[in-house]
This record gives sequence, C-alpha cells and structure tokens, in this order.
Amino acid sequence: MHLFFSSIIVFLYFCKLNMMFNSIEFLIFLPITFIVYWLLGRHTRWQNAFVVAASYLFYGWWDWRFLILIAVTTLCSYASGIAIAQSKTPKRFLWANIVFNLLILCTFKYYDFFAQSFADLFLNGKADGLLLHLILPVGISFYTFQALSYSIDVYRGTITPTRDLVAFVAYVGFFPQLVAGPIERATSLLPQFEQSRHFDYRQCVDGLRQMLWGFFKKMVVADSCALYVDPIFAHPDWFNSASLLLAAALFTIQIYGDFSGYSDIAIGCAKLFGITLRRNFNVPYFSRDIAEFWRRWHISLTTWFRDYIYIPLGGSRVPKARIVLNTFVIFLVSGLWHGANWTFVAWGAYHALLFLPLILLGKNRRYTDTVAAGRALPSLRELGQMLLTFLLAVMGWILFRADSIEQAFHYYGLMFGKLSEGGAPTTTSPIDAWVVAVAVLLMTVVEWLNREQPHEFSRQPRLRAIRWATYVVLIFLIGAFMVTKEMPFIYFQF
Amino acid sequence: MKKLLLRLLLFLPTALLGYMLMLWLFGDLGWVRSANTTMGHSGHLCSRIKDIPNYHDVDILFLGSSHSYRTFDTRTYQAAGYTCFNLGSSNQTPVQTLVLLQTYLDSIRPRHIVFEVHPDIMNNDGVESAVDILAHTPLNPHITRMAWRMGNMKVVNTWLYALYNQKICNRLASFVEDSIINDAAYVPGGYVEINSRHFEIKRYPRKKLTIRANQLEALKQCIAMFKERNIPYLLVEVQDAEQLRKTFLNHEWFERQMQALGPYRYKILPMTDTIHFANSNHLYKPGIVMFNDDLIQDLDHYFPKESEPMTNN
Repeated sequence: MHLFFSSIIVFLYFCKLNMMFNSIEFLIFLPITFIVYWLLGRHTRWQNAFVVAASYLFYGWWDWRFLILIAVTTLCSYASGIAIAQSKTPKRFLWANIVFNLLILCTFKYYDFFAQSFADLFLNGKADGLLLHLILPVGISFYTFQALSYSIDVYRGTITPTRDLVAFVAYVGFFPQLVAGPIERATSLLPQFEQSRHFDYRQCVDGLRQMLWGFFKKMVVADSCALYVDPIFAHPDWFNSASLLLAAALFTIQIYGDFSGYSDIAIGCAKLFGITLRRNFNVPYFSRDIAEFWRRWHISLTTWFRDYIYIPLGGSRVPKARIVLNTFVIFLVSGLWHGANWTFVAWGAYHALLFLPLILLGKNRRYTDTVAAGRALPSLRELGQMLLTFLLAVMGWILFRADSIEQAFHYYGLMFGKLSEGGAPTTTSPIDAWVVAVAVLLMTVVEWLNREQPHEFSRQPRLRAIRWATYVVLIFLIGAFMVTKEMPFIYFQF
Repeated sequence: MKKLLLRLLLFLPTALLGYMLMLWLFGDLGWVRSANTTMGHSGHLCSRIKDIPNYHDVDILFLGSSHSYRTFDTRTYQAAGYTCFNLGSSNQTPVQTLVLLQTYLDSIRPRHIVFEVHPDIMNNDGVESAVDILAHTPLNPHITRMAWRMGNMKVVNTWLYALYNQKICNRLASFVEDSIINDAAYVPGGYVEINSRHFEIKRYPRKKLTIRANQLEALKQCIAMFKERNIPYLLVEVQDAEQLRKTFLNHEWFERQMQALGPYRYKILPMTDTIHFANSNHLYKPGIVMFNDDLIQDLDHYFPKESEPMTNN
C-alpha cells in the first residue's frame, strides 16, 4: 500500500492537466490500469487496493487537494456505518453523518450562492467579506450522495455495514463513475468489491463497445452541437427566432450526448474491470410524456431522490396537497443539486409543473414500457407524443443553460418575439451544419434501433467482419469529425 | 484475457488501416473536419517553402507568425541594402519555428535573424500553425516528431493525410499556389501584401498575459541554435493597435521575459488605429512603412557591421 500511495504522490507532482475520458492522459491510464488489475488475478484485496490507488490518481489529477475531501467523506461514512450497526441510538450517527457530509457539500457548492442571494436581498448586493470563493471539487455531489446512500441503507437494514475499508474506499471512489456518476448504491456496488471478480471476455468487449458509442456521442454529437449553441446563448440578441429555437433544440441534444455519452464511457469502462454499474439513461427523448422522461433521464439521481427523499416524505400515498408539496420538493432539490444558481431551481420548478397534472390525475405511470415495443416505427400518435415531450424538454433546457433567470426570460422573449420576422437559422460559429445534422441523425437512428436493448449500442451484426467494419467507421467518425479543442463534460461542474 | 488481447492485436492494425483509407478518401472529398486536407492558404506558406532554394546566405531571416510575413516587407529591406527572406507563417509559434529552423536554417544560412514574438503567440497551442506546416511542407522526421508530440487529433489527422498526399500521390511537389488568395498577394522572398482592411473598433476584454512552458522552451532552443551557429538575433514585438494593446494587464512582465532571452525590441510608434492598422493586431500599409523604416534605422545598432558571418556547420 505504501508503494501505491508513494507512487501516487510522485506522479501527481508531475501532473498538472485534467484527466478526462476524452484526453490523451486517460488513453494511456486506462490500458495500464486494466492490465495491472487483471494481472493481480484472483487477489481481490490487491485488486481493490489497486482500484483505490488508480482512482485516487485519476481524481488527484485535477487537484490533489480534492483527495482530502473525498477521503474525509469516505472515512466518515465508513465509520458511521459501523457505528449505526453497533449503537443503541443509530439515528444519532445517521444524522451526524448526513449533516457532516451535507455541510461539506453546502460549504463548497452552495455557501457563496446563498451568501450572495442574502446580500442581494438585504445588503444591496454588497457581499464583500461574506464570500469564501472556494473551488468546487469536481464530482463532489456525486460521491457525497453515494456515500450518504450507504449510511441510510445501513440504518434501514437493507445492507450490513462492511468492515473492509479498502472495498469501501473503492466503492466511493471507483474512478469510472467518480466524477459524474452513475450514482451507485452500496447494495449493488459494494458486494461486487467484496467478491472476487473473474475476467469475462464478452463483458469486456461489450464494455469497449459501449465506451466507443459514448465517445461518439460526446466528441462528435455533443461537442459539435456546442459549437453552434455557445455563441448563440452568449449573444442571443444577434440572432433571429429560428436560430434561437435551433440552438435550444441543439442544446437539448448536446446535454444528452454529453452526459449519456459520459455515462456510457463510465459503465463500459467499469465492465472492463468486471464491475456492473446501473444504467443512467434509457433513451429519454423517446418518451411519450414528461413522467416517462424522468424515468429515463439521469436514472441514478432520480431514483436516489425517489428512494431517499420522496418516499420518506410519503410519496404519492398522501393527501393531494402533500403530493403537490412532495413533488415540488423533489424537483426543486433536484434542480438545486445541479448547481448553485436560481436557473436550476427554476428548471426544477418548471418540470414540477409539467409533472404535477400527470401525478394528480394518476397518469404518471401510463408509459412504463418502451415506445413501439416490437415494432420498427412508432404510430403517428406516439410520434406526436415524443415530439411534444421533446419540445417541453427544450423549453426547460433554456432555463438550465442560461446564466441567470433574466437571461433565460430574455432568450424566451427573443425566441417568441422575433417569430414574425422569419428567416433561416444563422450562426457566427465556423460550423459545418451537415456534420451536426448527420451526427444527430445517426445517433437517433442507432438509439432507436437499440431502444429495447441493455444499452444504446448493444445490437450488433452477427458477422464479425461487418461488426468490425462498424467499429472502424465509428472510430473514423470520431477521429475525423471530433471537435479538437478541449471540451469538458458539462456534468463535471455539478 | 489472452483472447481479448489477441483480438485487439488483430483489430487495432485493421482499424488503423481502415481509418487511414477512409481519411484519405473523405479527405480528398474535403469532408473531414478535423484535418487540413486542402493545399493553398492566404498565408502562402506553400509558395514560401518552394521559394527557399532561391534564397541563401541572406543578410536577414525573418521568423514568426503572420505579424512577421505581413509586416517585414522584404522589398523595403532590399531597397535598404539587405538581402532577406521571410519564413513567417500563420500563427507560427516557437514550437513550429524550431521545426522550420531544423529543416531550413542550414540551407538559408542567414547572417542575422529577426524573430517576431507576440504575447498571444507565446500562449498559443500551435495547432493552426502545425496543420499549416503539415499541409504545405515536405514531411521530414522533425515535422513528424512535432506532429505526434502535440497530441492533437487535428494535427495527427493532417499528418496522416499529408503522408498520403505527399508520399503516395506526390501532389504537393506539383501544386502551384495562387499568388493572390483573398486579397493576400505573395511577394517573392516570403512577404505577403494585404490589400484590404477590416478594421473594427471593438472593446476587447482585459487579460493577464501568460506564456506556455513548451513555447518558452522551444524559443530557448531556437536561440540555442542561433548561438551555436554564431548568428546574431533580435527578438521583435510588432506593435498592436492601441485598442488591443491596452487590454494587456501585465505587458511589462512579458517584456522582462523576452529581455531575459536576448536583445528585444518593442517600440511604440505614433500610429492611429484607424489609419495604420488592418485589424487590431496587424499593421496596414502606412503602418508597415513607418514600422520598417524605423526598424531599418535601428538595425545597425542591433546588428553592427562587424558582426561575424555565420559559420556553416
């Protein structure tokens, strides 16, 4: 262990760049980690120790000081798990852990936001001396929630507390999902670190395939959309209505390509290590209403809120007034989780308003199956429902993307106010429109064909030559049409 | 595990071959976004490189970015009695200058060097310049090493396409670049004359200047080459329009960094943005004349007549 940590410190000393999945550093890091991990064979404890070392190296690449925070969160949750199981007053330890972790999260993520809001309300905006200006540690919201779920599950008795510290550190810090999820549960991930893993060729190949698809979605689809979207959101006054609407629609695709692409890479990468992570996206833009959309979008977070906040509040088995309250609480908290800005809160409120009629009328679980299951194409009605849901999502993403509420309403005003002027979409960005159009179309077709599969690139031709040709074409599309300037993943900021 | 590694060993060369074939095919069609697959550019590097054999043992070699090839008018220096060549190219950073020097310095054999330096260039990633060089310069080990070291997919793609374009199709050798591209006229000797102005009165955000470590290292290596060959050199910063210049928060710091590397000239001449500049960071004809006349007057000071001619290694 000493050797591992010494090597980490030495390595970090020389590293000053971020190690993102779409970086050269990761391209070197992953094969080395993969080979060493499996060379350790059936020594589960050594494999776990190596996962910890690799994960802390990966995370420390951003800023070694972040390691202190994650280590504190991990140790605190580990100790609280044991204390909860042994104590006669487990609730006290549970709340101690929740408060401590949320205090760290709130200090780093929300303190300046609330201090500034307070100053805006009562001090004419003069917040000098109140603000801390702390750097937001990457992925803090993700690993904090993962650590919290463990202590809550121990308290509820759905899991017995682990005494294997190394396995627990690996559970909180597993590098593929450390910085942007999926937010795992101890009930599914921790046992995987406690058991021995066996190399599975099919699982590895499937993981590589899923990673490839994730890279395509991020580096070609999302980043290309960003080139169109960014200048328009920066200067909405310069553009006509069609450009603004197209930019909002492309941001809707960008954020999906970016985040689901990241999730695919993370899940695929975990498969290389014999670890199964939960699905985070399930073709959300093929949803027929907003309730279905929320069952398919960022699944690991929505189910977290459902299990740890919504159901304890009574869920939908309470009087209607409480249902309204619970729904608003869950969406507002979900919005705020994304960032310290009123735009995220407004985005949450917007979705609560869309969701409420469905839940109050008991129609929120109308569509629990996959659209057009067993059929090649959707019916006209289904197509209309999907387009309407997509459009509703587009309107919400404007709030999410804007820097402030004022900017979002300014954008809405321009988008609808200039409708009568007409005109084709324009941009100031040197972007090939056909590249964006083809990339989005390809992604849509592939995901439609795979909508009933375990992931969006599962279905493959049986002939190896055709299968390999598909991979090579995809690699070429990534290499030839990727955006070559550095484009960080959007969800890293949360 | 063994099965996976064996399959990967088979797949990776297949993928590389397939990738190159598609890159060449779609590159020819001009469809590849992450590569420079077209020859000919308003920076006229192709013409400049083909011009090199006509210039050797010159008095002055000019190096640097577009500030160099758009400012140092070789005709003005020739009229003043200096033979010269301008090896500037678009966004050329010291990393690329180093490669061009490794390739051409010993054939041009200059007696003096004027190296244009600019804060923005010293903080540039060099990608634009690298793809310009790969598309317009015959490949050699120095250029190949630079391309792969940059770790940028656009540069790698352009290198792969250049391999096909130059080594398989032999197109670069027979390509003749237009002498006028987008109002930019190539003048033999490397200078490019711009015959249009697009000056905009704009407000630029204020910024703190920084220098990339790899660019500083490359600049030091270039200087080491000059010293090794006993070639006197001068680092010159061409003046920007005032509207851009006043946004630099710490230009004095940049000046100190350059002064530490050798003789450095940064002189603010009395120019008017709307008259003497083509855009915020390029001089226009009246500014170019004023700048070059002033530099020529100072050349005797920087390059005294008794300075040693270069020793040919």
